Amino acid sequence: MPESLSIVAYLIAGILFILSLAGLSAQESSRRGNLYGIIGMLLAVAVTVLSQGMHYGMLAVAVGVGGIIGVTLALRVQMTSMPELVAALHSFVGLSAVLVGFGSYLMPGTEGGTEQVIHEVEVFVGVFIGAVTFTGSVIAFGKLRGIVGSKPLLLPARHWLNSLLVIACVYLGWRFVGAEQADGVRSLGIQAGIAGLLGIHLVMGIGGADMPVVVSMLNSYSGWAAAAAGFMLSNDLLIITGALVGSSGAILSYIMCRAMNRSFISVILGGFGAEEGKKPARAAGEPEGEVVPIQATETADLLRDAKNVIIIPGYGMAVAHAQYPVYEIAEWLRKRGKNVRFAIHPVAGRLPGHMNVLLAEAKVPYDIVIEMEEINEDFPETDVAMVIGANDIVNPGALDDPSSPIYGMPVLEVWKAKTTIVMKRSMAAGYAGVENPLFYKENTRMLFGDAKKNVDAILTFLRSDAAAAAQ
Amino acid sequence: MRPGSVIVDLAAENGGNCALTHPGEVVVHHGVTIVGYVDLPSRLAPLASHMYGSNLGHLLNDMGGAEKWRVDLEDQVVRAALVLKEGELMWPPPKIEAPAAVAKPGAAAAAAAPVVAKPKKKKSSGTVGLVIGGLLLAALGTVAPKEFLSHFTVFILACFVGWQVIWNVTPALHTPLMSVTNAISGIIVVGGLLQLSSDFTGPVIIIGAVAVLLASINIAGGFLVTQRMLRMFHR
Repeated sequence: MPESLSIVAYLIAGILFILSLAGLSAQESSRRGNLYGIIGMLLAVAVTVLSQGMHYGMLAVAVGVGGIIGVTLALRVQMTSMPELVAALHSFVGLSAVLVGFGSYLMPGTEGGTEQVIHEVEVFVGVFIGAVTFTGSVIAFGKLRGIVGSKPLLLPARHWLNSLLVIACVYLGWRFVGAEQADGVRSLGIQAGIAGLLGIHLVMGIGGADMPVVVSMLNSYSGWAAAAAGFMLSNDLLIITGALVGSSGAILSYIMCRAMNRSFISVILGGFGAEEGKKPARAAGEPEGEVVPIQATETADLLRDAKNVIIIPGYGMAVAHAQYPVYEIAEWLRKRGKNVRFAIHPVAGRLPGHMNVLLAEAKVPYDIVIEMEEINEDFPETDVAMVIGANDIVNPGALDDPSSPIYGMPVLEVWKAKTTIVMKRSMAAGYAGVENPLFYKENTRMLFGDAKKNVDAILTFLRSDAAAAAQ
Repeated sequence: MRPGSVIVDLAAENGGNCALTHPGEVVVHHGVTIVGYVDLPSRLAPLASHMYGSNLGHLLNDMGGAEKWRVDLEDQVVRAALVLKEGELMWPPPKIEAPAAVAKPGAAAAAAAPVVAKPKKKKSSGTVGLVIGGLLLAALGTVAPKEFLSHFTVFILACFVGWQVIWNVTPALHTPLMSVTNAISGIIVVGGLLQLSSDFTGPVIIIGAVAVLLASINIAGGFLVTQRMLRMFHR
């Protein structure tokens, strides 16, 4: 195939990828977007394979085995385990980038001069980013799975340690550029190892609750790794795609940081969120007021009399698998002409947008699932706000208590509703270790116990009462 | 209120918010001036022009008036407002060390000058970033070969496109966004494929094959799981 033709094909593939991301701007166009992505990928692969002679046997085996693993993973994964899958996929991109870097260095036929220096620097940078992405994602996967402890590992002087690792890498890079191939490979190998340590250390320093930020950050890294590979192979398609993915991850990390009250810089440097979590702040003393418990029957009564209901799901709901009966409740209420909506905080799940997927899986229609910024002003007109398995994202202290560690974090203002029902296992504090004054407010009712059992009970009461009324 | 105070009653047209307002007139009551004009909006334009004109007039006077007019580069007010001189770009001005020094003799001129200079000063601090970026790019341009720069151009433009496109993605679809970016970053498969070329032998093709295998997992897994998720979303 002529080279210009393949360049055009790459261009088309790049455009298709952009369209694929643009398709995600609305649910209606999203599936078509995914299709564009698939077509773009097939086009790019087909053109590359046709442009040169190949070791077809190895190609078939590699694509076959990889494809089967990928399909199996995609079909088996539970929606609650999406973060693990995403982290695993990041690690594959990272490792591929490292391998492509080594391969590109070993490829014969590079001439000397400035171009070779540039090429070697590109290889070096690509391997560095790839290795950090790879080990970082493996650790993130381990933390999400619970294989690695979710507590942040805080070595003394960890920022110095990180700097030292980076300096070592730079030094090896300086040795690497212009070296003989055998020496070069050794430097590159050691450098990859050190970069790997850096990746491990960066993610080990981060607590389990902050994983949404880490995963989106690694998403960004995996994009930059692909872009670096594009530079070393002089392939514009890789560069474009890498840049797209890189900016996507960066934006997601930024959104998550803002929603979690973290500084973007400290996330990049790793080991953030530890200081905040260490000691629960009690500076304002015990919140005033008392906790008013409630039973499932009364909750059902409140819901039956309500006109406007907002349900605030947290990750606790997904852990208890309560989203299915919650959907049934919502449907029951909607059939009786009540306005039922779901309010989503950006960090309600373990990934950006995770809660939306979990609700969609439980068949909740997406047009009643509303983002925090849009629904916050509707709470004063709401009769019942029902918080299920969430804590920090509904903490009024974030708005009015400057001594609170989460002060400044945007929250769902559920306390403005006429009645707020909070379903919780116990009075324990949330991830941030902060006391929640919401529980002590006058219009707050606490429904203790397992979320699934409670929701089931409410549903039963609603249905049996309706049946009694019908007779 | 103290004598010398001024009340501008914007509601004079409908009788006024102040009991002593006389619509259409200026009255002085116990030393307090009450402005009751009913045509304030139409007075605004001539007044604004007048003020701006007198500002510029003071500036020109300060620069020597009609007889001794000259562009004094030492004068910080003039320097800060100077963009082009005899075909030479003078923008942005050097940083002013002590802003207090602006207060020079000629009270009216001094009062007028900051008004002229201020908005431009603000702009210059915003442009500093752009200038530094431009200089870095220029430095890169002097050392990097042409081929690298053409790729670099593509890279920077793609970052901007990505930035625009991603902000448009609805937050509800951020998880599918991550999985689809997972899938398309599997494009690194191209790198592996190039190394599987029959021109090569030995370790390169083994490395290439493993890279292709890993990237294939991403492509197949990423697209499929995205499709699975998107199918769940319904009205």
